[in-house]
Amino acid sequence: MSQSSRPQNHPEPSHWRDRIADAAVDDAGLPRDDDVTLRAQKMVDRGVAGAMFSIFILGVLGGIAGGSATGELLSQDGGPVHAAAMLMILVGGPWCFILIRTILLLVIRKRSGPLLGRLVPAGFGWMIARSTGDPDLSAAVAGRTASMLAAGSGRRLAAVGSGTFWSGYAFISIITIWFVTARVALGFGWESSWLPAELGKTIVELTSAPLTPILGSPVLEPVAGPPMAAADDPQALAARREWILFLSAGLGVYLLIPMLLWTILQAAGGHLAAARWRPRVRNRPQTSRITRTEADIAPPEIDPALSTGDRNMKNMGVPCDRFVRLDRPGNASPLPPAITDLEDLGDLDSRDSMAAVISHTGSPSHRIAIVAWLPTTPDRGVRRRINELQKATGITPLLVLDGGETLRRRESSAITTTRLTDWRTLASELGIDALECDLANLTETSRSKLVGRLKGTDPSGFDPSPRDPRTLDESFAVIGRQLSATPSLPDDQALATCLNEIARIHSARLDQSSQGWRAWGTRLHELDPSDTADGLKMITTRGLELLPAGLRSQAGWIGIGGILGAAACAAAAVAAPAALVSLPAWAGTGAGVAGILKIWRGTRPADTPTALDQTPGTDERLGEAVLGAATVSVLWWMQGERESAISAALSNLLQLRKSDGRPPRLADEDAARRWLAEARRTIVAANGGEE
Amino acid sequence: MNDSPESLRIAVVGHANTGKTSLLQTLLRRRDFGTVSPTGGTTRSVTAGEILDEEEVLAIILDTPGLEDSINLRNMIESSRTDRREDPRSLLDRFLASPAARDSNELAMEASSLEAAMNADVLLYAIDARDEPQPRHLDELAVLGMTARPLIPLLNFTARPEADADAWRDACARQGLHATVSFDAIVFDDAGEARLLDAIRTLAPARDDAIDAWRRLRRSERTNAIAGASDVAADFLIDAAAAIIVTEPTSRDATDREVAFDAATATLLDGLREHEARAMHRIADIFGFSGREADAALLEITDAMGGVDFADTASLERAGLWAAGTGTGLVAAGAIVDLAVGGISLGGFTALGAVGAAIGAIGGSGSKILRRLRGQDEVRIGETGLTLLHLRQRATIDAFLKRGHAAIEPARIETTVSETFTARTDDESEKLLTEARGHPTWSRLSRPDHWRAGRHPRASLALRIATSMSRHFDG
Ligand SMILES: Nc1nc2c(ncn2[C@@H]2O[C@H](COP(=O)(O)OP(=O)(O)OP(=O)(O)O)[C@@H](O)[C@H]2O)c(=O)[nH]1
Ligand SMILES: [Mg+2]
Repeated sequence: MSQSSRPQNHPEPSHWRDRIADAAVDDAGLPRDDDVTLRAQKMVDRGVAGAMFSIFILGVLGGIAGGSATGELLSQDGGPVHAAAMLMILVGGPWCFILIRTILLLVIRKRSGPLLGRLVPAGFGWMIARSTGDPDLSAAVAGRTASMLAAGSGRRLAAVGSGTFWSGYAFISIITIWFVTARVALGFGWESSWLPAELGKTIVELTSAPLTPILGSPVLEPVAGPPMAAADDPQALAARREWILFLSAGLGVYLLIPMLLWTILQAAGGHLAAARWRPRVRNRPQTSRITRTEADIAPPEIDPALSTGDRNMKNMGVPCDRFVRLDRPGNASPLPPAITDLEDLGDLDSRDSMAAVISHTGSPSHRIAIVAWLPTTPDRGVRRRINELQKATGITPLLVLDGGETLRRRESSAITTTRLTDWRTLASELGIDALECDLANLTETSRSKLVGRLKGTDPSGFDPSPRDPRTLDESFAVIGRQLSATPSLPDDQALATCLNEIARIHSARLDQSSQGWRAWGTRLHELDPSDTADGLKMITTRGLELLPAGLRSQAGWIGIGGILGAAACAAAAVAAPAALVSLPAWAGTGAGVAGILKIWRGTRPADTPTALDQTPGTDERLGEAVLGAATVSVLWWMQGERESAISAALSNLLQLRKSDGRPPRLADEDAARRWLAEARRTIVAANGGEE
Repeated sequence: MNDSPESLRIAVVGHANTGKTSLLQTLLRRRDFGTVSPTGGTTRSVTAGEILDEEEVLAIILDTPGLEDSINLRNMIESSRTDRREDPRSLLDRFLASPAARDSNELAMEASSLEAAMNADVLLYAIDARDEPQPRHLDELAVLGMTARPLIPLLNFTARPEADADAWRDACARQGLHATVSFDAIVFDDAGEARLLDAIRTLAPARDDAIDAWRRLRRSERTNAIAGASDVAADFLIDAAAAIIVTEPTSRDATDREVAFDAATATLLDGLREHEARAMHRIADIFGFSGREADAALLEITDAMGGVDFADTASLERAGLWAAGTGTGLVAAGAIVDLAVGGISLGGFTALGAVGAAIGAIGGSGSKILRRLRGQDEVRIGETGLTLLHLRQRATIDAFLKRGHAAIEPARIETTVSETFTARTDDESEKLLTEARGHPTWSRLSRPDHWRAGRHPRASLALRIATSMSRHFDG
């Protein structure tokens, strides 16, 4: 079997126009085939044409500006042209403009392309955006072009635009001078209305000095225009020639050539920036390849003889008297007495320890409890070790799966479920009895279950009746009925009836854990009925013990501890009536339970947390009663479940309607019904969805 | 192209379910490599992943089946020893030739893993750092030691609080392994990868040029991804900052105006949400993740920001509380709430209208809230809203930078988000965003359709914002 996926890298095009086109095609989510790429390239070319056109327009505009300015300066109504002033205006004007702008930009610390020149990048984008037919592609091309321009060439391009403008201005100015003087014989002079003759002379001398290589040493003398000087006076003609040459050379050297150089420089810079530009990657090039050359190794076979389990079931009644640890970490909490009372055979973590353990089991064979650690992965090594132990002893071991809380804390619920399923699969494939039991957080129920399994007295390896949401519904319906009965909740009598009925509904389930209830009854037996306060404290405490350890100390639960205790009495009466025979009025009859509730309410110490610090009002009492009855329903319904699942379900109850960990405050029957409906939905959803 | 014997071969070995395949996915930046699952024994054959620079193979990384039954493996190999001085490699050869090494019920997986290890230049020994060092690890190391290949203990899962890297470093040092590297396959750490490559370089000095090229490849990949993602973020943020929605023309009737205002606000919010999601999907794509993960990241960020979201009216009220809680002073505490009740009389406006005012139409000066144009109002996002969007973009990029390609579930990124908050002072990109204000044509969100693609000033602003953002991530 060979599979290999090739990377999809494209060679990088060498010209920026093609780079824009390629990146834009990617952006638009189109395939990079010739046709599409060609279309994108055409769009880029349109943009370039747009830019060229803008540059041309700027040049023309510059020409118009130069021509009209020069023309204006030359039309002197017969008077002589003031050459120095003219040069200053034509050349100095643009330079002043550029200088002021530069200073201004430096002062306001802004980077911005030349004002007029911005027409060029705008023309670039404008032409692309005009591309018809494929708006996505043209938008992408426009976007990429804009970012290419933004990376440096845009400013250069704008500079080219303004350079062209001023070049056009200077060029047309020169042309205009020649054109006008060819037709009109003008006079030239030093002085003007705003420039003293001396100063004008100095300026002309200064500016003409660097021009000597071009002009020779011009002899600039004022010359009058006709009719003062005859049109064909050879001296005047020569003088005029000198003036015209001076003006055109001045414009050329001081404006046209610098502007052309500047433009060429910017164009080159812009071109370099464009060539240097690389589109930012917005798709990932593939930098790896997968090669598979081998076929998968088949999964290990399962021994069907083991998984039927029949052979092993008979051993499940044998009590365990030894235990081993399987991959138990050193920092796990100490094992409870129920386990440590057995003989410790150590860890099952090496060849030698395996041999030692097996030799210890000897004959007559002993049943071994294997304390495994749920967070570890049940792999082939684990399977082999358990299997070898089982084969050597001939008696099915009991697999105690500890560390569930650690697992849940460190993994997501999906991974937790997988791990649990893997362990259960392993157990069922090996045909051994497994018990998931958090040894660090044993509850009454789980402890008695563990002891039962270790002693072999509670051989039920499998959950006999899967939880049915209808059972929960039934008990919620009981609560609902008691909301409108007379007397109605939160009356003690109604609550007692409620608790008794709920216990009966769940009696099948409670029967399975009758162990615990029997013990419960025995403890009640020790109660001194005359000491109600003490008895109540005990009932409350024992009631709270029904809850997972983590919840017991929370205010919301302490508040309804009495109800839980009363409910436990009711349940004990259902599950182990015999044990309760000798009880006084506490007995699990309706009246007895009501009695317990009555005493509980009467003697509740002031510091018992309730919904509010004052004496509970009706809404709180109703809230407590409904929460209590619902809690009991959920507790009985979930008997035998993992502690964490019960914890989660009950915490959900206390979090309903933002009740903030306190019993809800239910104003009336309607509110109570709404709360119950919500509670039912939450619990059923958390326990695997709707029926 | 050459993947001949010259290429550097790295075998990732270790116990089952220690994240070997995950490590490959992250190192190769490919989620389609192999199968990752929380069950042991997922990988059942040796698979190679090649690191490619253009067409050149820089390194070959081998994913191997997990060593599940190391007690048995070690026992089987060592018990075949006849002479105390026998070369360990020949022991391994003998084992590989034995029937147990071919029996899938026995040690076929271990054998194929060992064979790959024997043919590699360097071994990466993957460790679930949350486990304690246990005898099975020693067995595995003993067997791998027989291959006589340099081995780097690679601590995986180190981002988890239960991980005890020090205990492992210690345990490895006691086995004579000192080049231990922490590298979580799911919470990606660029520096961690660099350390790993350095360690490989030290142990395989003959291939240093390939490792250097590999490192360069990753570095440029990262820079490119940051640049690309910042581009996308900047583009979206300009869209958001520049967007102006003009309400439908209405009569002077106040109720009509409110209705129109609400509609415009809803349009703006919808547009923002849609474009934000789109931007995040593209960012996810740039980093090689899926849109689903982008959505998850957005939810996480919303969560980490105390549930402040544009989708949820009530949540915007919490924004003030949240900002006060973070103590970074980035959003004046209660700003959004204040705006919602202050300014123009919004009493009659519906909830959405109030939110619109909270996030919209308020300029820096706060002087004029709604500009009236022929009975039309303009709605745009407020400064606070913009700050939120900016943070969300940055937090997204941060999150993806710290996400390994092996991550299946959306990783918890709350810490990342809070880092984003505290580190935001050096980022001027948010300030730059104000330049986009008042340019409705710069935004794809503006209504009526003002959007013009390819505006040069917009592009240059986008570039500056993106550059500033990527500087933050690179720094
Ligand atoms: N939190 C966290 N989980 C990880 C990490 N690495 C891997 N995982 C998870 O660990 C489990 C196992 O990962 P894999 O990559 O399949 O492990 P493997 O070593 O290849 O497993 P086998 O092929 O079965 O030997 C998966 O659920 C991964 O999501 C990590 O660094 N952190
Ligand atoms: Mg794997």
